[in-house]
Amino acid sequence: MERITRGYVPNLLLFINVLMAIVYISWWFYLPHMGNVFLYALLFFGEIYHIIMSFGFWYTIWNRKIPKRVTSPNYFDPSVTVFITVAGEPVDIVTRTIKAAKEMNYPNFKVVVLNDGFVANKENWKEIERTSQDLGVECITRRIPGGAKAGNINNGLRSTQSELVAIFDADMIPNKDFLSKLVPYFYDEKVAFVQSPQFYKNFDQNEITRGAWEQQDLFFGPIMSAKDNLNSSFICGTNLVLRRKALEDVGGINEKSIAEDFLTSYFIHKRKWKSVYYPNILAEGLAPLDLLSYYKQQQRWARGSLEILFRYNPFFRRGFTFAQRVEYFLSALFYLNGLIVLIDIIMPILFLFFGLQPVSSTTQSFALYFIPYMFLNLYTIFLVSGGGITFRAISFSQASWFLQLSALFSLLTRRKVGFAVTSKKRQEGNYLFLIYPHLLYIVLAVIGIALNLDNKNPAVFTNSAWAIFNIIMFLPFIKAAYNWRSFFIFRQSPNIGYQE
Amino acid sequence: MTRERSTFIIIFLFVIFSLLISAYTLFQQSLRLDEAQSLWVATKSIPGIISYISLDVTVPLYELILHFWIEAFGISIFSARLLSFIFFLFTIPVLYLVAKKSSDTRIALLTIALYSLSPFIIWYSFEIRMYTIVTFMAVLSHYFFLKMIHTGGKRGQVGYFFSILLGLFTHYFFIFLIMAQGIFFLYWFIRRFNHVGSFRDYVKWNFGIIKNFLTPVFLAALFFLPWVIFFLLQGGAANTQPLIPATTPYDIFQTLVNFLFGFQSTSLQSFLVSLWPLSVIPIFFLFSKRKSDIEIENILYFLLTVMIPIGLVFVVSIFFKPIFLTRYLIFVTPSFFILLAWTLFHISKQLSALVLMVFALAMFGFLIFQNISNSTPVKEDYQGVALYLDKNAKPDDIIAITSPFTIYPFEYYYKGSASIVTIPLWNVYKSGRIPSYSTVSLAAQVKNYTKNYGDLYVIFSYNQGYENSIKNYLDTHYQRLLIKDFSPGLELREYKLRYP
Repeated sequence: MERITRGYVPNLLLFINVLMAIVYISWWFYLPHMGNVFLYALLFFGEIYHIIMSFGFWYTIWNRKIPKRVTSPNYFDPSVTVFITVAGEPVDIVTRTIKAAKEMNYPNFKVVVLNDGFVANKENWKEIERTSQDLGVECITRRIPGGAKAGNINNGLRSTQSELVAIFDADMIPNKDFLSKLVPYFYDEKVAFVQSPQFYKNFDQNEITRGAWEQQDLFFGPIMSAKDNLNSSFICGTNLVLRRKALEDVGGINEKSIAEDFLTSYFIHKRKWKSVYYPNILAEGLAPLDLLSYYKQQQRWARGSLEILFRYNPFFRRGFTFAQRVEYFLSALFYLNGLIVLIDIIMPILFLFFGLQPVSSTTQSFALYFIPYMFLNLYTIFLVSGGGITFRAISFSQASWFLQLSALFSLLTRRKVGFAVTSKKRQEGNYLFLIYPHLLYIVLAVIGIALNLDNKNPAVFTNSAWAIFNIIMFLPFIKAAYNWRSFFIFRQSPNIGYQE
Repeated sequence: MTRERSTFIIIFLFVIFSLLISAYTLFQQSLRLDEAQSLWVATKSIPGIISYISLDVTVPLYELILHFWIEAFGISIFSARLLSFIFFLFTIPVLYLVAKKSSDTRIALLTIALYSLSPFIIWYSFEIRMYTIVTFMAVLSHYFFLKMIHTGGKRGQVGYFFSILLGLFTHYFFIFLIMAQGIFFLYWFIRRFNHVGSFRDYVKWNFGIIKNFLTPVFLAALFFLPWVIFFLLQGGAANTQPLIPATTPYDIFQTLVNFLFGFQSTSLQSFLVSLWPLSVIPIFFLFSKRKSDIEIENILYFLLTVMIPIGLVFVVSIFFKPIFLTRYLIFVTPSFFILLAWTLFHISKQLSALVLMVFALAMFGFLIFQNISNSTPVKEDYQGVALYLDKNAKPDDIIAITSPFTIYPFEYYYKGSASIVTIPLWNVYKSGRIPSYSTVSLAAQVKNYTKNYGDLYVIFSYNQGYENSIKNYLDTHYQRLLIKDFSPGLELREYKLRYP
């Protein structure tokens, strides 16, 4: 393996990061800093979480290598069934995907549309059948519901026999060389699946697509390839090829979770299969176009991942390598971020309204520990992303705290959450309700600051600055939720002149 | 006209306006203590200058230049201040070149605009001290250092040698900049190791590159060494080191606030420092996707040349002895403003024009306020005291100045006929250390004046630890007639010595 060049982070820098993190967390262990015990304990818990996530991130990207180029003998062309999963997506989108799939330059494959429109009560299920027929591909329409997308794929598996299966969401248009690039990895009989990135070709369409893609970019770029080095990359639902034998070994795609892909990879790794992540884009799809679709998608991922943490904790299960335990744990732990963000953002509000302070020492001494640590952390992320990380991506992650919290709440209360396909069309409507928690925060912060206008205590300024900091972090998310331009610009009067 | 261009035009109008206003206000300002000292030293012969400076904590280049300057253009405050202003003007095109070579024209323009608007920079551009020269040398060293490592030519090496040598002869703290450049060079060199062969071979094959950097550094050290030996033989400024208060983390934040918004009243500075959490936001923008193609390495270079000198000075101040003074760190401002321009310019398109305008307006407002406000902490209105005493002190009155060394600026302005002494008594025209203070000698000194003088005027400034003791003694033993403040830390008191 050779060392990567783009996105390369020297191990020395990671080591300095570790040292800086230890110095930083040592500040929190110095108890004379403690103000209100309960609030200090909450913040301390949050900081421990951040440190675990940081250490995990550095562990993941430590010594990142370029994967070996894989070749296979010419005669190696195992049979592949290409599944296109459909559940009510527009016919024109499905048609484009079927056509592109048929065009792939691989000698031994067939395309099958897995039509879930009937069981999902979608009006266009018959149209999908007709279109498939017109395009000369098989269409399997489920009549017995269950298992959502996972159930649909498992139904397809039962009706086909090929050695390998490729899976595409209805909007994911594969490149011609998709199969010829990925299938050679299966020459190694231990390889269970090969995942490729989920690229959004409409990434520049609006704030939501941009934010969604920029988050994906970091995940499908450095994070997944680093996980690949540790044989820990996981299935992301689409743009992948799977070995049927491996799937059969784990009882098919897991139907118990709404993050079926994540849990399936979990069981595949548990059974000692290998996984591969192919870092180049081989298929293009559509990002969620509106905040509601984004919200549902993220909530599904959050809920599914948190299930791993609470119900399938890899540290208490056999069969994994140490790296795999760490990676699954980190991926799941990421979605606890909502809880930590809530703790962090509520502190300045508690101070501004009730004068409660978690920390008693001067905040500049804290800043001296915090800022260098933060600096190095962000610089490392900047390097690892090849300079591609954006403020919007970070903002979307932070501002998703409420949806992550609701996912956590639904898991803890064992509330059932249905699988919802991410919409491929912009949903019309007003999604302001999705940012009510953020707007409420702004209102509270403004009132809190106003109540303290005549208070000259420096702690008031610092807490006000933290509140403003949090608001700035939420801004790109808030901006994406609503067409604010229409809010500020008067409606145009109807055209009453002559039409040419 | 594009929004970007109109923003630039408005900012440059600000710059021109601010320079005109600053020239009007600052050329007329009272001579400050350090200025008076530099001016006084510069009037001596060359050996006299070297001998005097070797007893002080400074290096002689500035006073030598000033010596020839006042010989050519006459000894006036205006001409002496003009020298500093000219070096400020010299800095701007070189800073533009450095920023442009590291990024692009727009960022370079913004850098020089922000630099020229900085109340801190403007303040020292009109001060009869070495600060604009040391900044000029710092910018030259950036230019030649980057040229040297990127092109490897002899020109870069020669230029780098001269810039760091002259920098060292302008201010001792320049060594911290060279250290930062050394650390960056080390990083830059290691980063280029392509892992083909061993690291030892890499060093062997590329020893020429290391030599390119080390040669000018060693040569500069060699040329600087005789001065250091001479300085140490003269006693290492054991008696003339300024009394710098203990350093705290607050000083770091205050330094950054000073760079941006200049010297404001203590309460305003404290308010601005308390807003430090907001400084984390620019770090996000600093390390995020760039609109134009900028090398990550360049960002790191300017970051290190800001952070390492500040960090090292802070560490020395905490663990050895306090040496942390904002003005001593002025040589990091060019890198600081390049980073700031990068950061501001890469906020989203819609926001950057707004943020830039707000920033420019804030800097401009603080500049005006700093220049005209009497509460500006660095103001020393010896001119005001002298004018007051010209009018009010009679020939049979006596004026006492404490601390003794503040006699220089006062004497420059005072045209009256009252006698002038210092507390403790010190003969300014005789070299040697200032006598130590004791209440007993103060009592004897003042009692002696009661025979011949009517009123005693005491000018208090630069508290050397005994100011309160003098005030207490005089307040309890003589009738106090007046207390008058002229600028922060500069107070005049009048006492009745005898009654007719």
